[in-house]
Amino acid sequence: MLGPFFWLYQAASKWPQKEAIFDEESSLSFETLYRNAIGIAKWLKAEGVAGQRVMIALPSGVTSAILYFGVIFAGRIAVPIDPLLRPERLESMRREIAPQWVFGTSDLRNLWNDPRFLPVDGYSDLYHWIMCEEGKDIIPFDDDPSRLLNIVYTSGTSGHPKGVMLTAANLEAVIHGIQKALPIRSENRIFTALPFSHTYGLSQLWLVAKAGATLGVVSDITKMALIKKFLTKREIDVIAGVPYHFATLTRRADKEKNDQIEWMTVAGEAPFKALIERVKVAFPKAKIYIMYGTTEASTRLTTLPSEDLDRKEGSMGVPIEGVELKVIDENGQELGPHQEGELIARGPNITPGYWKDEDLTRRTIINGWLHTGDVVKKDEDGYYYHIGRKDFIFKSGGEKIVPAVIEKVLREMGGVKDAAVIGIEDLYRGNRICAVLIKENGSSVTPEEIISNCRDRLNPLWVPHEIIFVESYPKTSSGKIRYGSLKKMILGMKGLPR
Amino acid sequence: MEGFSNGVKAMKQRIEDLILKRVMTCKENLSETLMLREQGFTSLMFVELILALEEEFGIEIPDEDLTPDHFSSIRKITEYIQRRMAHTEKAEDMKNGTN
Repeated sequence: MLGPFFWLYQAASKWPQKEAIFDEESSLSFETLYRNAIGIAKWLKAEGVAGQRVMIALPSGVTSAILYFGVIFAGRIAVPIDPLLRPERLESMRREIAPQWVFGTSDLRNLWNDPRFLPVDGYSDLYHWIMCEEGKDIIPFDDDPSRLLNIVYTSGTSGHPKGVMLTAANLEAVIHGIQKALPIRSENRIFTALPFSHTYGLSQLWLVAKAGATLGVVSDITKMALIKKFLTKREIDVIAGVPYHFATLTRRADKEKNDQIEWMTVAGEAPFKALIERVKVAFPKAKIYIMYGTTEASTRLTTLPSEDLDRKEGSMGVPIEGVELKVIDENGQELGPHQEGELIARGPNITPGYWKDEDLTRRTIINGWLHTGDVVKKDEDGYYYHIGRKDFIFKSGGEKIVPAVIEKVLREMGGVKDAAVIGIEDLYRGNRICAVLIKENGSSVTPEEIISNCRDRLNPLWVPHEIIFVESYPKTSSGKIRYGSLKKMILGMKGLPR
Repeated sequence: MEGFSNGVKAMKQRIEDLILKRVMTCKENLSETLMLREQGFTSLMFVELILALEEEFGIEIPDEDLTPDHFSSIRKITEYIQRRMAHTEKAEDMKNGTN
């Protein structure tokens, strides 16, 4: 008896009337959520076979939660995706997944005018499926730990999204580790604005089903008026978010404090010290848990216990139960404390691989160890610290930015001799994209011209925010650009702390 | 643009320039009629926009006013900022006793 649907079944047996999930439209008890999911499952089982994929292209909320549990219970593979992605991305995912059905917001009909596309804009749109009495009888629970339950997309290292497969065993392992690391109780009422299309957001659904806690979801962090109402009127005591969510929630930290919040989780990107200080002011009673993980690890690899927040400043914590970590050099040799190297991870929460991409799987999961591509170091107590990416990738506005891609475009421009792209820390974006250029001799090319050129050639979210001209780059003896030193140089030029 | 005075036109331009310069450098210009979301605006950009507007116009935008409706298009933002600035001036006048 494994996986999120089983957890929901248990929660519905123990706490049938308890509020399970609410959003701006509706609120469901565990029993209702369970029954609604069964209705969806019955309808899905009426035709097709197990193992088929069902895409759910909806904002986070009650409706997408019902579909998530229902799809899994029907023995289908749930593929939650962000409906606001660019049409090209959505379409390439659809082609890769080849779903049996796509539940999506009705505006997506422009993209997928197809009988397999099922428009859903709100809870009431689910009625005729929920009320389904036909369809095959529900078969007993599946005990197969290797059964594939989800495919969750992560932006790959080349910028192309990759589908990460997650099995029942993966989710059972990760939820166990998460529960052990956090003070989660069934009385907790969690608020999140995280998308269910990423594992961090999805893990809130898992936590709620497993622990019997309540989840309040707002699909968009910009709906601050609504969020404020939720936080004050709906008895929220836990917040799960990424740094820019907390930056938004603590805008008026000194003027508006909330002492109802007992604890919170911060993951997705490393938060700044300044943000943590602001969070402490805005939520004075809250314990703060910084966490690190990847989709390939079913969301979680490490957690920093709240009591270590100050004494292990900047750390991403220690492995969750079941996870083994190693820091290795380029030759795969294990490194000791304070030595920087790539983080590799092993454990039952590690994905069996990428959907329909055995090649990438083979290159990423080697001898059972997941190569994260993150450069880290650990201290003598076994606490890990994130240094950067092996391939210099950085996150900007939630996108994984591959400098090499932007650099190639920049080098091809008239007037540009050489280009190096770095990320400069930014409270809201995580990093601003900064293109550091060396001009051709005698060139008078301007930053505006460069940016204008970039707009034509690059994905909008990859267009540099800033252009800086320099005379030269710090390089290694073999002529490679030293990105770390370059960044320090640029921060020094700007008078910012390095 | 019937119904708009020159002052409002200038403010609209100021807002558009602000967005293009500080929040959405990837675009050359913005459509007046399309919603910002339709032009590629993300949640994160909205958050940055609020900050930029507060700084540019010297106003405070309370959380209660942060609803999708007020900031969904250039026109809506202009209307909101005008109202907010009038409110801020009034509050200051009352404080200074110049009302």
